[in-house]
Amino acid sequence: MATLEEHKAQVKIDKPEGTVKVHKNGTDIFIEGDAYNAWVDDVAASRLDKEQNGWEENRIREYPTIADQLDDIYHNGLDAWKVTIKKVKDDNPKPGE
Amino acid sequence: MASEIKVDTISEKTSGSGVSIDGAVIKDGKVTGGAAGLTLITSGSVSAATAIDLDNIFTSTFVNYLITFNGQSNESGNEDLRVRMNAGGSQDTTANNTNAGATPYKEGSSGMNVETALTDTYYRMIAAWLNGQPFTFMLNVLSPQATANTCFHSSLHSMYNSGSHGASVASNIAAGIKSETTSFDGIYIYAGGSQTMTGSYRVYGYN
Repeated sequence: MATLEEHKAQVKIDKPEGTVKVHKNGTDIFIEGDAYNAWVDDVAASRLDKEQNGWEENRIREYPTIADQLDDIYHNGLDAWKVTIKKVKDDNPKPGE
Repeated sequence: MASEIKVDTISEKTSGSGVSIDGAVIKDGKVTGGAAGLTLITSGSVSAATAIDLDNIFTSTFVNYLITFNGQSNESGNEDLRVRMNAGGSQDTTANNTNAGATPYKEGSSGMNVETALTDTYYRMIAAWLNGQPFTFMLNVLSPQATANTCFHSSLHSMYNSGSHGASVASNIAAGIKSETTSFDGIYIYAGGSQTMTGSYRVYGYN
């Protein structure tokens, strides 16, 4: 798992200074200096949060509904149901799990 | 006294004052006063911008404001669309924003994601970004100028690709409060990640 500083470094690689466009009061500008650094801090913090906590949100979103899971168990059995659930867990790993 | 006036054009006589009709003022295509509903304050278009930053749009003329956006997202990813208030051209980053939002979606069957926050530095509309796909939101900002908390009510619709379920759509309905009585005059709307948006926005005022 990357640190906040590592995320900041990656954000600067993904979107170098001078390439981030903000529509400010009717005019497009490319933010620089303190404004750019503040933007990098925000994006890096968001990426770190997603990395640490996004797995749960993603699992909730990707699990079949309870109704579909019950239907799956009824038609295909518990082993098939476990395969479906395991894929969602594997696709969205919990940090440290 | 005439009961009806028929002319092709009425223009302001005193430059800068507009035309007043029974309490309503028509000035530069905008109507204020009287029982006016929504009044357009400003509008514009953005192209591949990561944020819309508007100063001096909240004034004492209106208590509440509606901001609309109709366009598309330019990069994919599951990130919020976030809002911060501006005062004197600077973002307020105080961690005093509450937020509760629900995002219904349909993947195979159906589902709903619920998110809440108590002390964020921003108000958020939960969004998904899918490159080149439609992206739209409406945001009501209540009392940004008054000595009362600034409140948000929003809806957002976007497309996304969840991976296991493929492409889908989701709408987010949310509300929140910025527990601060600062008089804000602007707003900063930005992607939580590094996504960008292209489209047109409008800002309306109402009382």
